[in-house]
Parts: sequence; structure tokens; C-alpha cells
Amino acid sequence: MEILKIQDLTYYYPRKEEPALKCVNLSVTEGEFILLFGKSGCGKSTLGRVFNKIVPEFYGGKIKGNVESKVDIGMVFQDPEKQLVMEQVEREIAFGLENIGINYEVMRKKVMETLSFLNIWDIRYKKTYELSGGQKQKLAIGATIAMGYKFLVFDEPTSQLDPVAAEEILHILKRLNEELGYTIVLIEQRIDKCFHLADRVLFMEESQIIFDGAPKDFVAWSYKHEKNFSPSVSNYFVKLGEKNIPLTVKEGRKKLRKNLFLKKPVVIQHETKEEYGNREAISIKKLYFTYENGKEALNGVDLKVFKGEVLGIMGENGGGKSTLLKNISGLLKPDKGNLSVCGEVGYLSQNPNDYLFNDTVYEELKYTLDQKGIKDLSRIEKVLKNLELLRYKDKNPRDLSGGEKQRVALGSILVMEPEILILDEPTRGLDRDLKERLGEIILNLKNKGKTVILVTHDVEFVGKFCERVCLMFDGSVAQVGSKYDVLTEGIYYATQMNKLFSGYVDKIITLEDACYITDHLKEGVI
Amino acid sequence: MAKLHPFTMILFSMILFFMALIYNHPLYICSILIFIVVSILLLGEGKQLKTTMKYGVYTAALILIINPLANQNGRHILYKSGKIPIIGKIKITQEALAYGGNMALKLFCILLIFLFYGLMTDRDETFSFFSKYAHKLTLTLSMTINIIHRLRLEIMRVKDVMILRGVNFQEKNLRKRMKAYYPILKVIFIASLEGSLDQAESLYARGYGKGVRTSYSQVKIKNIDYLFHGINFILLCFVVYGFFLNVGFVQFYPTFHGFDLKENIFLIYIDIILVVAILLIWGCKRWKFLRYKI
Repeated sequence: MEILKIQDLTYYYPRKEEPALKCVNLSVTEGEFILLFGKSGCGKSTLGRVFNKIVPEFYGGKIKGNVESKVDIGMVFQDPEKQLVMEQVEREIAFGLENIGINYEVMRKKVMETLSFLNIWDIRYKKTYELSGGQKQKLAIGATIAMGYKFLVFDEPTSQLDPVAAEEILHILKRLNEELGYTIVLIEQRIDKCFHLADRVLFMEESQIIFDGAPKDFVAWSYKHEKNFSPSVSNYFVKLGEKNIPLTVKEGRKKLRKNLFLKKPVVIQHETKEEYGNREAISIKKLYFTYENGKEALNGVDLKVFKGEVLGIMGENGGGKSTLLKNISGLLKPDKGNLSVCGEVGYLSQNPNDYLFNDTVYEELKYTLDQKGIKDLSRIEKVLKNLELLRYKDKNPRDLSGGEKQRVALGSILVMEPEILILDEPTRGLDRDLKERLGEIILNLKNKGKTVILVTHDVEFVGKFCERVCLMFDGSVAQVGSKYDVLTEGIYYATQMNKLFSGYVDKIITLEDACYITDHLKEGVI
Repeated sequence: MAKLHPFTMILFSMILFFMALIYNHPLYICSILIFIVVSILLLGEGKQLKTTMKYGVYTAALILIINPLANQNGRHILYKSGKIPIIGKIKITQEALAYGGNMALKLFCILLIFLFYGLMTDRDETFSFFSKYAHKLTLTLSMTINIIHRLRLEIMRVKDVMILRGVNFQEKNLRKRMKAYYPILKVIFIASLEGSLDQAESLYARGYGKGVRTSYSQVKIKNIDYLFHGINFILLCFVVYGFFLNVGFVQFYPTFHGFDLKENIFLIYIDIILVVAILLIWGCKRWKFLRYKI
């Protein structure tokens, strides 16, 4: 049954010349799980807001075309912090129900059922600001489903979360769709984990829907049109020219077993590219740190970071990564142990907005120089050029897109010409193209002899751009070494490609590794 | 003991508050103070009593010092200074000292009334009660609480970022230090503006302001609430009656005046009511029969 129909929709935000949506036609049937994606700024969030009429009723602007919906539609937003309004979990769920005038008895039942469905019964009396990011997002979902919407739009609900919490949220969406038959529209950037959940895929580019069809068809279409938007597993099989392309690791491995005919597992020997010798940029020995509230954050960390390398630090939230970074950058003083850092440390935090307050990009970079007492202003132009920001020199940094903002923030650090650069969750909220670009910038810095430390949950990114990886657990280092040792043989900190090949061909991390090995296996030589 | 309905307690606290404010007879103020202290001790919250008293001690001491210095009225002079440049002569009088002491007692009274209210009611029930009748106020309050927590974290984060960009927050020069804080303020300000739009959008998406609201709060009125309402009523009657009789007021300046029998007899009536309230609290806490009945 068709429950939503959009015909020839064109929409302009107030005071904007360019349309945010152009001639959009769409029909949604009850019970569908739709994945809506595309590059940053392609109009997917705006389309998501059309469903429940936030656009144009809340935003205003010019609209042409028809939107007909037979049901009420609920929406969950990106940032869980900014959606919650009440102080207590239970009241937060009830808030929407109060607004639509449900009577007390029904309200109680709905609150109770929502708490049970999401398994957040135990935190019902907690204060909302005490919750973790994942719990907050769960609560935001709960508050929306409690209102009785059977058609839900999720605008990048996992982009601010760590992978564990993200998967939990995706699992909830799957349950809503499969157990309750709800219609789901999911707007996402990180598609590896949710592509197979969808019945239908909408791909947007320049304010238009340019693909509307089944996920399997999208993979072939995407490869043909060079869109680079399919999950890694599918990408690999498309590259081989296969038909009937798998979407998940499980399907992929089934296909591999047929294709490879391997009698015993192959292990590739990766050349150790470079010996770092004694050129240490950071040396940490038995480092301890305890916060004032008594929380032991670092518990005897031993770590060496070499000059000119890209090191990835991974691990659970609360495992001590941030505390370690703060110790390295000098924001915190260690309680015990040795820490020696050669050269200045530049630090890029997760949120580029924390950096941007000046009126122009140029001034933003100059501010750092002024504070550091550096007179050489030619550095600014040089950095802007390297980061491809020169054309935005006189623009207000706050008006730029997400990826550009991040580069300005990075620029404001790079003008100090630090020897060591720390990037905290730099891939959060970036689409694949932007990630690739960031990767290139990082490799560029590495080639100039800078040391880069990446702290991230993004295994794919680490697999592609780092040489060594350090896993932190409970305030100490669990494993550190070449990425081919750390990111393989695992079940969690492993790339999609590694999971695909694990047990058949070991020590594969990236798509390039996989393609290389398949070519050679075909020829019979490794 | 069972928590009281917020309305019962608001009324009771307001009457006490009003009494502490209008009466300036030291015995009246002492009675109220003793009543609250005994009640709090009966509730087993001596620790909180101590902490709250600590907050009051400095202010009370300040009143005790400043009033005699600033107020030159009163006949019984305890000390007279020579001429001090600019200020002139200073005399400290017994009356001014007593008045300061009385004010300090009032201050403790008012501070403890707030603690007493908090102990006798449930915080969430108070919130529910207000959200039913002053919905916008409670929504603003809860959003503010959420935002304050977020801002605290944000300020810490931005400060770290700015330190690493070379901003010196330990600057000795006050003007320079103020300037160092400017970027933090600006970043936080912009972030809050952007955040407010997101919050408004979320409120809109959740149907806020679309129609007649219902309330999730159900605060029950218990037997003890009726009993306390009785006390409230009698106490209020006495206070109003006393107002016409003009009791509870004494004159401090130029000399003590008005400590007569009529005042003290009336105080006994008020004290009887307060003792009944104490007995009720004690009974609810210790006496099994009463505990189950209410």
C-alpha cells in the first residue's frame, strides 16, 4: 500500500538561489526499509525533512510540487545531545505523548512498552545528561516511537556514535522494520553496516534522486558510474566483474569458497617497508594517570611513536585514548612514568567548530600565529594552498561545508608547523570522498616528515592510511605493531576485506590487497 | 517517612517563610528556627543540616559585623571610636548588635526552610507538579539544566583546543586574560545559537505546541497531606489574626521596646501548632501504626 507520494518536488530554503531539492519524485510503500544516501550536501537531509513536513513548515522557503502522506511520520535527528529536552529518561519518552494530548493511562502503557522494547528499563530514572551517546540516541528513538509513528525517518542517527553503539542503533531499526513492520527511511554515510538491511536504495546527487532501486542493482550501477558508494565487500566482487553480487561478509565468503578452490590458507608476506630505527618522536614508558575523581585512566602505558610514521590508536571509549593524547599534548601532567616528546604537538579535536570563531579563514589561521608569536605570515598562504582552501581565504569559516570546516581547523594547527600532529576522530561525519581526501592530506604530511597520530574507531581508514596500529584497553596498550598484525586475526578490529578473506587468505586489509592477491592467485603465483 | 504532596509543602513552607520574614521578635524567629532544626533532625538529615548551616555562617557573620558598624542608632553604646578620616565617628550599640543577631537568625531560618522543603517532598514530584501547572517554566528549566551540562563540557573542550593553539589563560595581566577568554565565549555563543535551532526543530518534530497538552505527572494526595493542610489552615489563621493584634513585632531602635506578655502568650499558641507538626513528623517516622495509616 502506498503511504507517501512525492511528485515533482522542488524546494528552495529561504534566501537561497539554488534549490535544495530539484524535481523529486518518490513513492513509498508501507513496511519498506529505504536507505537514502549521497555525498554531503546533496539534499538528502532536506528530503528526509520533507517527509514529516518540517520542510517547509518549520524552515519556510519556496516549494513546488506535491507531497501526499497517508500517515504521520516521526523523525530522529543526527545529534542526540540536541534532541533531548527533559531531565529524566521516563519523562523524555512521555514528552511527545503529552504534546499530542494522550491521556495518562495510555501514556503510561506506551512509556512502559517503549522502555521494554528498547531495553532501557534500567535507566528510566536516570538524568538524560548522564547517559552515554548511544543511550541518548536510543532514548531519542524511544521518544519518537512512543508517539505511535509507524513511518520513521532517521537522519544519520549513528554519525556521532562509536561503532558499538552505532550497531546497536541499526539493530533497533532492523527490529522496528522486521518485527513491527514499520516503514523506515535511513539517511546514512557509513553504509557498510546498513546496506544489506535496506529493501530499496535511493541515491542523491545535486538535489536530485539519480538512483532508485534494489541494493544489488545499485552496486553494479555505482561501479558503472564511478560513484564509489557501495559497501567494500560488494565493491570487491564488482571489480572482479562478478554477477549476483554479495552485500554481506557471509554471502561474500560463500562466493569466495567457490571461487578460490584453496586447499589450505595462504598467508601473504608483506614487506616491512621501513625500519624506523631509533628516530623516536614520542617515547612513553610506564605512564600512569589518575583523574581527581579517582578514575585511573592510564595504567602503565608503554608506547613508542617514530618520526615520520602514521600511527593509529584504537580502542573502546573510556579505554584511556583521550587521556593519553592529553598527556602527549601537555594538557595533562602524568602522575608517574616517563614521557618524552620531541617537537611541537598539534592537536585537531573531533569537532572542527571548536576552532572557528574568526571572520575569515585567513584570520583564523593568523590567530594561531599571533598567539604563538610567529611573525612569518607567508605560512598561511602555504598551508591554505596545501589544503586547497586558498579560494575560501576571505570567506567566513562557519559558512563552509563540513569537510572544508575540518580543513580550516586543521590549517589553524598546521600553521604552527608542528612536528607531531594528533587527529581525534577525524573521519566522523565525512563521506567517502572526503575521507579519501583527508587520507591524502595525511600521507602528504607524512611525506614531509611529520609524525601523525590518528585516534579513531574507523577501522577501514586506519587500514588504508596507517602503518602501525596501537590498541588500547583499560588504560594500557593491549597490542601495538604493524597493521597487518593488529588488524588481522581479530573479530572486531578488522576491516571488511579482512573478515571476507580471513581463513582463506590471511593478512589482507584493504581492497587493494584483495585485488592484488586475486590477480596473483589467478596466475598461480603469489 | 512518606513524602508530602508538593502543594502541601509549598503552602507550609510559604507560611513559615512569610512568618520568618515579617516577624522580628527574636523569640518568634527562634521558635521557627528550632522547629525546622528539630524536624530536620527527626528526618535523620543532620548531615545536610550541617552543610546548609555552613553556607549561612559566613553571611550571618557578615551581617553581625556590618549592621553594628553601619547602623549608628540605639542608646546603649558599647564602644565609641575617635574620628576616622572619611568615615567619621563610629559607635557600636547594643541594639544594633541585637538587630544584626536577629537578622542572622532570620537568614538561617530562610535557608533551612528550603532544605526542609527539599527533604519533605520528592524532587520529581515537585517537577511533575510544576510541569502540570507551569508547563513552559518547567520545560525551560529542564532544557537549561541539560544545556548547562553540555556547555560545561564544551567550554572544557574549547579551552583545551585554544591552549594548544597557544592561548595563555594564565596571563597575569587582567585585560590580556579577558582577551584570551574571548574566543571561547564566541565559539560557545555560536554553538549555542546553532544548537538552539536544532532543539527547536526537535521540539517541533515531537509535536510541541500543536494542541492541548496532557500531563504525565500524577502526584497523589495522601492522608498526611490532609493532616498538614489542617495545620496549614490553623497556622495561617493564627498568623492573620496575630497580624491584626499586631504581635510578633518589637522595636530595636532607639531602644528595645515591645517585649510584653501579650506577645509571649500568642507565641505559645503558635508553638503548640508547630509542636503538633513535629509530633506528626515524628509519628510518621517512628510509629508503625501512623506510618501505615497515612
